[in-house]
Amino acid sequence: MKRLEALRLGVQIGGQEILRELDLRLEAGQMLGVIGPNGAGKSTLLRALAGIQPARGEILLDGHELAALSPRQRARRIAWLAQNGPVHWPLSVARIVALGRLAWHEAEAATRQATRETLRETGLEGLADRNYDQLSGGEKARVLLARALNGKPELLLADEPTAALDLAHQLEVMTLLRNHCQAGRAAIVVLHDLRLAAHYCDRLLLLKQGVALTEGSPRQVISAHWLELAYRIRLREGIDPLDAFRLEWTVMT
Amino acid sequence: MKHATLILGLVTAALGLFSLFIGSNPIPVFQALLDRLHDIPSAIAIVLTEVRLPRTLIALLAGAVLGLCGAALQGFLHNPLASPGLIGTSGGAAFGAVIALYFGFGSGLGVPLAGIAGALVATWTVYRIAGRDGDTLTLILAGVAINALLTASISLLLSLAPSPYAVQEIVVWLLGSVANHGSDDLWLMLPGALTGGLLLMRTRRALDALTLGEETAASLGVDLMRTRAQLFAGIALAMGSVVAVTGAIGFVGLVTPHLLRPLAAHRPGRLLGLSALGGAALLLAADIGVRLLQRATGASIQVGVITALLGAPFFLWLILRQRSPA
Repeated sequence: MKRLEALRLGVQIGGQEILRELDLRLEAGQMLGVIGPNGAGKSTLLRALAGIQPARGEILLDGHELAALSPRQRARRIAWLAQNGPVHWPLSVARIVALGRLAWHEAEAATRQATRETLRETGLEGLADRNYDQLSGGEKARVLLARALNGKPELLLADEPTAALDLAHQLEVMTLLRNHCQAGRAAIVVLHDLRLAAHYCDRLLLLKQGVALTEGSPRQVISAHWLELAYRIRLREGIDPLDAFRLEWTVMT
Repeated sequence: MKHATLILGLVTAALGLFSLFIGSNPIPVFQALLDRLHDIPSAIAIVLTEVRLPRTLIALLAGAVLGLCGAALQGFLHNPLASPGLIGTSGGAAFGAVIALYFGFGSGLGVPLAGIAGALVATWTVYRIAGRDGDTLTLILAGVAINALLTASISLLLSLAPSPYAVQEIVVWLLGSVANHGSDDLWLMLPGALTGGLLLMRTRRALDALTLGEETAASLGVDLMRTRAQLFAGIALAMGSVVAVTGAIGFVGLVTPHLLRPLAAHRPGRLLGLSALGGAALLLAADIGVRLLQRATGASIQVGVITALLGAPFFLWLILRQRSPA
């Protein structure tokens, strides 16, 4: 993928407008953070881009309509990571990660090889044979992210991948997402933590009540004006907003 | 997994072979087989090919279908307590068959054909009520409602039955049995069972993906509406064909997937084939038990009674284990 564009995107659920006239543009190699208060339509935006939620408007992948792709073709190019996604049966970590290659319809040996590689890249090799039920919350989040990454998607849509994780696991997950983008692919990540958004994302999209308030670099979006408008919070006088959300921690290796 | 399939296959084959030796009177099976191969119309050859072989093959096929349908539905609903009768197929088949018995079309192919029709209509009704893209809860509730309606209708027909003989005939049929069926019944079951089985086997990848929930499965390229349609059609055809001939044999479809799930590493798609083999082995074993009991005591017990007697306590144990997972 070189470029994703969404034009006049709109979603209506049960007679209520959840997203309105939203435009979006993303280049390969970029990570776009979607921020905004609860109920802003962040998850709905991701579901619409993933093709799970019917939407108005156009979604173009390298200039071609996403709707023209078959579900399997779309799944090969775009992966969606649900917020707190369920795992209904106690499969092994390797089996769950392998499900990420389902759309490829390849031989089992090829899936095994790709899965081994992804497990190594995500630092989950040691957990490969463990049952999902036996993992901690942080490990589960990494496994589900590894599942989404295993298909080597050009675009990854991650819905609050750091929710309910401790700081170390949050940094690990964000580092994996950044590595994904540095490999020439792209990601759109819904985040509530503005420190993570400011630190890891190339650009931010600020939503409120289904409308894009602004879009730009973290310095442009994380400003007193926009935060007050979106969240109704006020910054103390004389403090640089970006300083207030600076992240100075890194994972120990 | 491959070893488990092989062992289960061998066990099923051994049980199938063994069941040919069990009957009210002992017969030299190999001699009967030789007679049949040489077209010698001996009594033992007729007993083997017209009584024992159809019974064994019907038990094998019915067990396989019950195990397969149970595993498919549990995988689809990601609910270990789902039984293949949940979507109205068994109830519909039973109702259709009871109608045929009630109105005196019980001879020949009347009962099985009415059963298949009943199964298809009832499953289609649940499918339509739940909607092509309805959620799991709506589907379960629609199934429960249709099953309740069918059970009440069967009870009504029993209450209004014109003679005690008709009541007895209906009740015995409802208990579920693989006995007293000929090769005609087997041929009647076969097309629906095989077509339905193939449709269900085609949902393997989708069932694996559904482990991660319906939306993630859709994002992985699974066509949920098509999967649902295949599953309903597969269960309606396979279960409908089986129940229409054998009556409702309970608990095999519920218990078998449970017993074998660890051997399939909990993968719903992989469990399908294994559960079909396991269901065949379980029903064959139960039917052998029935025949041995009959030979020892003279009592004629329906195999559905045995599977329910063994299956119900297992079901209770399952509920208790789910309640306290520790």
